[in-house]
Amino acid sequence: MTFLEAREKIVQALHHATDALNDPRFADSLRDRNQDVKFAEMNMDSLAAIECSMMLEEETGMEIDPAQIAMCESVNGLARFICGNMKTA
Amino acid sequence: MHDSYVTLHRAPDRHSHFAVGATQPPKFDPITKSWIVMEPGTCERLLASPYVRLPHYSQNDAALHNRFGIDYSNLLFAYSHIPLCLQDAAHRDARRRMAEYLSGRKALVEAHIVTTVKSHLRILGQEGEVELMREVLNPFVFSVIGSLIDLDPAGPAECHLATKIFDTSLGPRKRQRMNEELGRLREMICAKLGPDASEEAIGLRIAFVILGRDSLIGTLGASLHNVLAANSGKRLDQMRYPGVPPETGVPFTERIVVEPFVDHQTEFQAGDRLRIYLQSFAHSGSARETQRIFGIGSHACLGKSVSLNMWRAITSYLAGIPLHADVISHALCTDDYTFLCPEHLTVRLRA
Repeated sequence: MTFLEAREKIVQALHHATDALNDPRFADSLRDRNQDVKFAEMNMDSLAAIECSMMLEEETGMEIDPAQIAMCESVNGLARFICGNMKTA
Repeated sequence: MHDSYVTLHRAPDRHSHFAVGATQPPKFDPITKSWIVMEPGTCERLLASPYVRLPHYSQNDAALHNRFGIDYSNLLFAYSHIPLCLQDAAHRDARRRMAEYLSGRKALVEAHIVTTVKSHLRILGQEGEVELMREVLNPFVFSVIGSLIDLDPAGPAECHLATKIFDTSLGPRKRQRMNEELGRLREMICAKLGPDASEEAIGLRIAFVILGRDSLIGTLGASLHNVLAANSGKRLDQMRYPGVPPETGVPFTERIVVEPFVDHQTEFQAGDRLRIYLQSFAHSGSARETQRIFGIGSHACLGKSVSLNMWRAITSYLAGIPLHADVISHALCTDDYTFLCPEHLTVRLRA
């Protein structure tokens, strides 16, 4: 999986969990592969984080904890983590 | 501020962060979305504060169970019997049941600790390499929990993930495995108690496994590593063993603010999450405060006396061994975000 593929899956998971693509504060940045969005800015609650994890686990086959999402700090950080781990798996 | 409070409790440099944190007021961490509380006096006040409550641990699992049909039935069953997961009268009732059960089994468990510590630690009386977690501490803890709930030690031994039920940082796949493990434990307890066993009797035993297993393994393992590292170069019978474990396997506890209040100039709002570090008591250097690793007030650890008895039984035995114990390999578990627990701790025993 490439960085951009991973990024797209994360954006879709965030949208699924938080309706992020309909939020004018984040929608443009999430759609633009050259921009990044920090999770801390998104006010994602713990249930949304676990829903996001669930969708990413289904899409990638990896185990992805909400804690891992938090530690990656941003959409691009998580995309790098996912494609890095899928290459080494 | 530390890189990530998600894993600070197991960071190699955590002691220096606690030394700094012990002098500072709470600060908000955007990653964990929590107030980080490390100053022992503040920890103590907030643990006893009437303006905070326990988190609703079951909420997310119940929502996923209901919304997506994910089978979390055994997790939800466990939550309904663990005092920490219950509020108000339900909490008091569950806690009283556990306290009464513990009291009734106290003499038996104490006798079990005294008689079995020798067999579990005998291997340390001879020269060679020993992996303390796998060969000594884990079997000892499983055997004590087994004696407490009258179950084969294989029951608690096979609960690798189930005890991480409070770890809301773990993802859905791990939570599904937790649910499966708890299902097997539940079946084992049912088989042992027979067809007439009440849900309450089964739930109570599951609660003891969840609350006791990793907290005991972590506290004993991390404390033993602390003592061995601090006494490097000495023989086991020359080391000084503190009466209270110097590390806690339960590094922090969380609370939710129920109404706005001010604590020493820090303003908390309703809904704020507090991450209160019990580790700060362990690292305070004060014997009085070290005792507080077991918590304070209505949520203090019910298993404190079992933990202390096990620690003292272990250290008394070690204090009679005239061998050096060099730590040759040590690593902490990294597959969860709530416990401080050695994954392995290998020592070389030599004359």
